[in-house]
Amino acid sequence: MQPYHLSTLKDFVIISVSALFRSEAAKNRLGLIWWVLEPFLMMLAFYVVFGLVLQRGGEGFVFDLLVGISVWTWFSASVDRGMMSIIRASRLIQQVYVPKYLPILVDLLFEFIKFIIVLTVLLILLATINSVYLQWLFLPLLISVQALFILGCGLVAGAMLPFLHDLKFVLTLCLRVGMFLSGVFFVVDERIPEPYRDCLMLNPMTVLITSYRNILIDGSSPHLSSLSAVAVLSIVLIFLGLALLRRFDCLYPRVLA
Amino acid sequence: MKMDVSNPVIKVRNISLSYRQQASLWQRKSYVYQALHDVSFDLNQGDSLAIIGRNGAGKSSLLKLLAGIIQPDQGTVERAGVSAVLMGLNAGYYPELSGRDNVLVAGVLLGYSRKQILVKMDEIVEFSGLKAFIDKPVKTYSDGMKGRLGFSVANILHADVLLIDEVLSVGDKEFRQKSLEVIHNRLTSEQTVVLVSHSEDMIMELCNRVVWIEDGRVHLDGLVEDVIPLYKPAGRS
Repeated sequence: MQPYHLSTLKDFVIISVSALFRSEAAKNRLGLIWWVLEPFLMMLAFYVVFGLVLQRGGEGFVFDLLVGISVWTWFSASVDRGMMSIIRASRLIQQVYVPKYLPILVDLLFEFIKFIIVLTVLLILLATINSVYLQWLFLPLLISVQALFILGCGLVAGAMLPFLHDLKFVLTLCLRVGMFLSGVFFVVDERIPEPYRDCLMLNPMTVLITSYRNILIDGSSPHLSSLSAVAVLSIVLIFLGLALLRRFDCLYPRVLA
Repeated sequence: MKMDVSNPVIKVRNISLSYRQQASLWQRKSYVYQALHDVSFDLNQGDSLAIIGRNGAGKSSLLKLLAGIIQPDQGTVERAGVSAVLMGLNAGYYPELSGRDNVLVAGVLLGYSRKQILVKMDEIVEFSGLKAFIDKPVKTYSDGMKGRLGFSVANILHADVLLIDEVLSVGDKEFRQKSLEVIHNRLTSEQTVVLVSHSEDMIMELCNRVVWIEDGRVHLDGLVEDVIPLYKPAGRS
């Protein structure tokens, strides 16, 4: 529709993300400290329960758990937020013409920054209790692939939800079931018999979580061919999402009115 | 006088717009509401046009069409490269964010850079008269305060066409006076304005032309002094 300058888009994203942070911070007394404190306390709780009390899953399982939870939380929180982005921005899009991918992008960026904070806490924890590996250099690659995957899922979900509100319940359920199927609470390795192991690896989030564990905890290389498959799938999803958003661009203000 | 200079900035041609609503899967019958039906008119450079009609007559939809936010089902809205900006009571785009952040978001989307808005921020806050409330979430605002915020943002804008939806009807007398002055000044400098209002006095004061929408169709289109006297008795019945 109306052309937008790149600088306008940039300014919009910067302002929106920083405003989100500030409004979030204003809600609690401790403000943004919670963002570091919450993941830290959660990790501590898991460490105490699984590592010290139950002594489950053998040595180092607690690290697998921490990595799994952090990586999964980034994904699920992003999809959860992204699917509602356009609906939350309904007042905005009734007043001004906005390319509809923008509100989704802002929300995903917000969750990305949250993840980076969590990841920093996690890396410090791993470096002090476990050890640092050269394979950590794969981290930017893994983060990029996951970011693409999240972008794809977020755009598609966000594009569809305003038309099909019922989808919210389905997606929320999928995220819940997905948490158990993605190997957050268990490690997908030779202990799981075929064909189940291969089936589990068809899930992009299992591929990602396993790769993070490989490089961060075991110091081994990630499975690059599986990661490329995830990247390709993500790019397909991104194009699908953008196509849907473009197709229905001027319908959103009407269905949300 | 301005009417004679017919230089259309926006041409509305035979537009129709309907809202379809299907309540649930189990109800087969879907409900179709024809908001606008075969509406045509020209908006000329320097026009000050009022759109009148009963609630649900399709006035707000028409403004959204003029602003390019939505597209008609049939017909065309030709904008000859002009920018049209809508301001309404929803100026708080994000209810969770503060008024100040909403001003930033609005300003950027309406074509300013972040720096330009920050420079003008004090002026906007001053004009709005919201004082400390500017840093409170917009969801805590009254309608009057939202109107103040919306109008204050629009006040710094330079859009070719200003589309005003009811903003002037809320707020206290003092602010309304201030806003009216601003619009008066704009009108004398050839600003094109489209106004939706239920206040006939305000329309008489500000506008030179009226489009009366009834049941989604143009009932009358003419000079303010010709149309408003006819609208008054009809509105009462």
